[in-house]
Amino acid sequence: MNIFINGLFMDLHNRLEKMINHLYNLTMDSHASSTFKKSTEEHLYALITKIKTLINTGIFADAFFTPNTIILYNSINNEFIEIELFLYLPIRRYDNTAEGYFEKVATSIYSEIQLMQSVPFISTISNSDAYFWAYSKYRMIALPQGEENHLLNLSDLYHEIGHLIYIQYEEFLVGDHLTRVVEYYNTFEGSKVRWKKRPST
Amino acid sequence: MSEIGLIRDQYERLTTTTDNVNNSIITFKKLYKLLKGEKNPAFTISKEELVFAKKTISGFMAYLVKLSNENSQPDYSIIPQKVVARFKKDKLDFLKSDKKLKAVERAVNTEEGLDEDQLKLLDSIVTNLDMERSTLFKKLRTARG
Repeated sequence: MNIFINGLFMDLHNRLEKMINHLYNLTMDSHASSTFKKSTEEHLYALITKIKTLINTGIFADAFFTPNTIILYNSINNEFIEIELFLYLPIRRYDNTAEGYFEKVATSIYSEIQLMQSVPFISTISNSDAYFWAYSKYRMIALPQGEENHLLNLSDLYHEIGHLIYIQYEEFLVGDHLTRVVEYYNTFEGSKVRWKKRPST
Repeated sequence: MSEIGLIRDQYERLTTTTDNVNNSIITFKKLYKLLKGEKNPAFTISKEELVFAKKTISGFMAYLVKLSNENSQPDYSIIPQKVVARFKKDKLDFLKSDKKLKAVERAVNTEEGLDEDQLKLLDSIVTNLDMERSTLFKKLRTARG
């Protein structure tokens, strides 16, 4: 079993190495895209270093540690999936006519509303079902493929920019409101409101 | 907070707990092997590693003892509320074994460390945490906001 788990780690290691090599040879010109690429490379290096350190700990040679090595693998694999899905694939799919165009739109919006944050990376990796979404952890916004042809949806881009603003200015925007709401619902009176059925409309 | 934000928050809290507990179990397993006289150069434990493992496991055991008490108000920053509710609904064995949990809490600070049964109990607990974490991760990959 542990030989198998060790093999899984080696597979992840090799996949990460290929991704790092691919990005190394890629040039991205704009500030938003080159910053995003640099951050992706840092995440990839950090993960591959973590795997190398783990492989050298010696716990893979002993079945006593198997339940724990499985959990270690799950943690690392989840990190890998996130990086692949939200950082690496958007870079691979980068196209000047779609992503390049939206970068210019977002730069223009940020300048117009005088937002001091750096412009996020915008990718058309989404679809009609998932629609527009923002992922603040990686400072990215995803739009459906082909969205550069549907400019009436621009208001949704503003909504997603709002998520990134909220993350940075949450304290200023809502203060301790959310904590107080949670505290209220945890009280006896609050729990009665929480479990009360909503009237049918 | 949007739905995705809530799921992400729960996932990250559970990941921190799962990883900290799992790494601490690994430290105690290495200690168990070393105390048994096994000479493996890879099984070295730093002072900081051992202090962290003791603090993590004793704190987590105290938390689970509190969780097993029906009337307590648990700290959901360690295990999210929905996961706690599921653990209680499934009546998981480790929530019914106050004595065993307290024994682990005491044993982590002794020179003998944990015995094999106690390490097995910790393995079953962390495996449950990992399963819940995987469920949240699947939700996270399909929810967008």
